[in-house]
Amino acid sequence: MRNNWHPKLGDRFVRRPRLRIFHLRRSLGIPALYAAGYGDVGSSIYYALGIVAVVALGATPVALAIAGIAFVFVALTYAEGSAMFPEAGGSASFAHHAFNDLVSFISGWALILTYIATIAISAYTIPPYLGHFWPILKESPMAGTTLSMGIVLFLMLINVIGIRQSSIINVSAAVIDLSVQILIVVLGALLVFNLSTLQTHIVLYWPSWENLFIGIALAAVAYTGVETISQMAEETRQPTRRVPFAHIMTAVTVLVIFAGIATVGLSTMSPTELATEWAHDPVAGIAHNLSGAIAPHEMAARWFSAVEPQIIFTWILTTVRELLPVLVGLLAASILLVATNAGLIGISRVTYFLGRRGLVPGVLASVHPRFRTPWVAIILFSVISIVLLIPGFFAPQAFLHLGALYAFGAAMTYFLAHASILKLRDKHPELPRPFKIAANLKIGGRELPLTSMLGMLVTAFVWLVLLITQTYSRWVGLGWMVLGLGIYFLFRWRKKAYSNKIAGTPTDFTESQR
Amino acid sequence: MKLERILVATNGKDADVEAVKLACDLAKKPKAKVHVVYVIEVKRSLPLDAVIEPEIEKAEKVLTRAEEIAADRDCEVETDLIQAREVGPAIVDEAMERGVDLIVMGLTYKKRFGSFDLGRVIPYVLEAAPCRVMLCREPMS
Repeated sequence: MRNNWHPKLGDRFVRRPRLRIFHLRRSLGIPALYAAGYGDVGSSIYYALGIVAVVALGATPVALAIAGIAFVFVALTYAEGSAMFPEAGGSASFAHHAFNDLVSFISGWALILTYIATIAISAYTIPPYLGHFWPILKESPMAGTTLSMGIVLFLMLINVIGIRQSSIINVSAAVIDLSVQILIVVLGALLVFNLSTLQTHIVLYWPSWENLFIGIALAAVAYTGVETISQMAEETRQPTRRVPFAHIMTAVTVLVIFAGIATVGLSTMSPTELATEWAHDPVAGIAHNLSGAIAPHEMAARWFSAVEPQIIFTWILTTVRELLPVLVGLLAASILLVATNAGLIGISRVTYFLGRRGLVPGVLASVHPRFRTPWVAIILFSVISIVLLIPGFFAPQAFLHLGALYAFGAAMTYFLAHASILKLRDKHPELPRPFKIAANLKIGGRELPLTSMLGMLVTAFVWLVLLITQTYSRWVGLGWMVLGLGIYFLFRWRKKAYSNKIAGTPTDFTESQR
Repeated sequence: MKLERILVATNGKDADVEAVKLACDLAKKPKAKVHVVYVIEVKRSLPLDAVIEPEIEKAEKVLTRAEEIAADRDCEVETDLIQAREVGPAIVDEAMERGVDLIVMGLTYKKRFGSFDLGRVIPYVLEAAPCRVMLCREPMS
């Protein structure tokens, strides 16, 4: 909103809004967007592999691959939507433009649920990775869950205060994370990958059809964070070009890396081992087994005949063997901490978006006068995340439930995102689309993206599978949506009643003269 | 020194007054344009276009005061309110977008842990600005 009005000398009484949106120049180009996106999505493999393995066992790579294809559909939908509407709000914003306030609210409220689940699950997974240094954090649900709650509390405080967060740290974390994951994939390919072992693990531990479908549905948890890039669209220079590119780059990287890690995972251990001993820290399990597979002297002797290279290579391999589990433990915990924080930031932005548009009570979007942060939303949803962690004290399936809850909310959000893009193609084909999904079907004179249609089908399938098979996510998820709709309708009714009351009262001079 | 456009970055401190006065005096002879900006720093937990009423009210007061000072010196200024994640890059970017020849900033005399402190924004602008930068430090008293 650029104001071209210039005040005349002495003119002090009329003030038009001078607000101008500023796009942070230096840190939000494609690298920063990609880092933010990958940092969020890339962190989910640290728990998703375990969650999916618990149910899908040998079909874990297959489930992740199928969910990955659906993720590509989602990324393309978000790329088109974010390029059209580079504003915070993500799928809620798309729904707002395509449909109406109610659909926008449903999308936003489901998105809040996914963020809450992401915060809980990321925090829940940190202690098992730190269990390499302090085994009690992995062995004792009491200790682990207490630490998880403490982490959420700590992040809640720093986000309420609004401690300045360096974008350099976020970019560095994403780069290091990606590097370690690539290292794991490369080491796995060189040291342990064995096609027949992999095939044996997949075939022998192939799950039932029901578990396969549940595994595919749960694999959606591997792709948390696609909203992150969209949320940052409004502070990106040339968002119409950079945001879609960042989405696609993230999607490609995620697919390649996750496929690699899943393959390495099932090459280093059996699905039952992955689903039991290493369910909560699967990548630590991969690192542990990779280290075990490294025999420095034998490998050095096999690859080099000369003595000097053998000595050097032995030293390198010994260092890698010792360092790998430590590195993974530390980095996974750090990345998951960043992801938990990203969840808190995302939830507050979405809530602010909904509050600004009058879809939720304004108190949820209120900004602290001193700290200038949406403190009510941050505190409220942090507390809800902590409540969701309570079953971690006593229920071994808590991990799975959180994953299912995330997938439940994500399926709704993504379904509405796909639907919004299709609706916009139908209702407003004339709108500029800086990024337009290429594969389209012509239906009724309109070009409708195939990926969005398929995406709708897949997300609907995922949601139905979870609704039917997962008791926890069914009742908590539905309860959450019912609660939200109750708040929405009550709030709107009271707002309308108040507006009607005001409209009946003369407020201006001309009105009062009648 | 070519002076066609001057950018004054304000932050609501008393030193803004001196900075605006200095910019207006410098702009008089070459008839340069003076732009006064106030940057609201938005925390990451809010969208960039969040409406933070107390900050906007404060910014409006600051910019109004700048306009009054300029009016007293017969200088026409253009004021702008910007929201950004970080103030330093916002000022530098504003300077680059407008192609200003000089940035003027007020500096409050402040000590931190016994040493004179420039803060966070000024060192950034001094390092990154493509044009001349003039600091106007308020008196010690």
